[in-house]
Amino acid sequence: MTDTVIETKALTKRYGRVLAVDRLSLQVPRGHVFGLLGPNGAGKTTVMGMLLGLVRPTSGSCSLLGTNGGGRDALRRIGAIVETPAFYPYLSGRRNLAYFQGVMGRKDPRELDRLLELVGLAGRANDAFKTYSLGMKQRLGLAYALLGDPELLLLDEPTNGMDPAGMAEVRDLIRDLGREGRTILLSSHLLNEVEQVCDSVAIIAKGRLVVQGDVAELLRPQEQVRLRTTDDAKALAILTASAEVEAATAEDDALVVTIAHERSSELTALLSKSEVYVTEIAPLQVSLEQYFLDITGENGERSE
Amino acid sequence: MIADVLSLTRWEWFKLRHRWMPWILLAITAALVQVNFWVTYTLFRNGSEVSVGEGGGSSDVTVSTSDQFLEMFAFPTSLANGLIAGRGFGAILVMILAASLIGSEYGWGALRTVLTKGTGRWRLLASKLLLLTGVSAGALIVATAALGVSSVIALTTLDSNWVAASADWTGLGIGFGKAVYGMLPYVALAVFAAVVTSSTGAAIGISLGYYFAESILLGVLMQFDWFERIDVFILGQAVSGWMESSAGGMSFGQASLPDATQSFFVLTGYMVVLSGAAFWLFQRREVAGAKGE
Repeated sequence: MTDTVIETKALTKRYGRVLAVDRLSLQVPRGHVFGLLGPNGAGKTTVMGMLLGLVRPTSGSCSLLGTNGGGRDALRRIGAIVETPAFYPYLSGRRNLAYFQGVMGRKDPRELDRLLELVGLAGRANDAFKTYSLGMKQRLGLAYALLGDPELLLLDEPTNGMDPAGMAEVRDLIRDLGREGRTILLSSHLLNEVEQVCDSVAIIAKGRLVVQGDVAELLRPQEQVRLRTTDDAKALAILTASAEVEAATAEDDALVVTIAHERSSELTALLSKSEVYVTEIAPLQVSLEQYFLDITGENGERSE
Repeated sequence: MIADVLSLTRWEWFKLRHRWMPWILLAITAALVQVNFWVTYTLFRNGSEVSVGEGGGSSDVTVSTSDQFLEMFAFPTSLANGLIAGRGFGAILVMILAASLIGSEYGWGALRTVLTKGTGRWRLLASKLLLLTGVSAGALIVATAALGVSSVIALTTLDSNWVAASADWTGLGIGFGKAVYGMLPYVALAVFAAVVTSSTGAAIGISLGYYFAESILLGVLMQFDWFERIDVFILGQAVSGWMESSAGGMSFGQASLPDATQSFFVLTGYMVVLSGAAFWLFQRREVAGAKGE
């Protein structure tokens, strides 16, 4: 059994002059909740489409569960929603699910009940899909994706159109599904969503991979501390002159000091020798949003 | 593999039977056949000379005597006439249904949802074609059965026997099979148009446009002698040639119609080419989201 369930190699998609995906190489390990993060138009949905065999790559390759992307056998083992879930408007939510369960060669009304309950649609299950709000359509999409207990889930913006409570519910659900050992590829432009839900993340911009890694690793506390002192101007001069300090800057009403993590405790001793006393010190926390903005420029390009 | 297609066909039927459209089209088919029947009946009762057939087509036959008329209204000839009339109207309506069955999948964006479950593209299209064949046959049966009831009512009012002296039930069965087969090239045409355009409206426009443009063009081209040598290759002419002598004992044949065997091969050719092209394109085309139709 392979440990990489999704792999793309130099995956490229071009629509005429527009390069939607540019030599994207990704690896999604088994059992991870993997975030595909990028601004609108970054190429996330196109990547999903190529993985599912809906869009033909211009060049490169992709594999799902060890088989070529879009292969029938692989698709039978995955659940996916791409963009806004599209179902048959005249059928009820339950009948839509019954149809898709049927085309998978299964018939299990109890599974339908369980999934409709799980996504909070049991009360509206018999209403026509066309009467559903966007949030309800997303919920039905999740139920559809979970049909047949798939080992891999590809979810494209699954909380799009949901109210805050609904978003929180869905994120909890995705986390629970991840804890059960499923691999989940979650595409989103919502940084906090990826930060809250995912173990690993790939950030793409303009179809190109900007960075890929564990969320915890990417957001590892920076070797920076923020401190306030009894005399910031004098403290800045002392810190700038110190060999242990890599950099020190004044920001707003505090100082931001870059120093090796294990040596940050020496700052107070260093300053107190010059009768400058630290009144406040804290490691600088970086959110994924901040990280994302740091590594992508205004145009979504890598800032190097 | 065949089991997969049959299973998918069953679920396509599940979807279709919950739509209003097929039932409305079926009601229209039955109503048009009834109108055709009762108008003919009324004209005869008023002493007029009447024509039966598809209405204006080359296979129409003029009936002017009482005996001919009663024969025409008795079983199984009345049912065979129903097949001819029903096939004519049915071909139009089944094209609308076929265009909608494929085009709406693109319009609603549901095609992407179906394919994502690993149904397989050619299996899905094959199941839709199989369903359309079944629906065409079913619609003809319903329209013909409704006509049978009308026939009984008409003959009862005329105090005539329900069954004709020259009853040819085998011919009726063959006629039914031929009528269904004669509708399939139109199904293939509409399916091809729907796959090419990814749109219900455009597919209906193209397939109906072809159907009517061909009829108009046929009327013009029939004036030329050279056209007789190639007319079998025109879909409408091939269908008429194929349906010749299929009216359960009543011959509607005319010398100008193409040979039935030749017509069969032409119809098969249309079906193979149009559905083959549809499969090829359906297999390769990228599937986008909903088009909002």
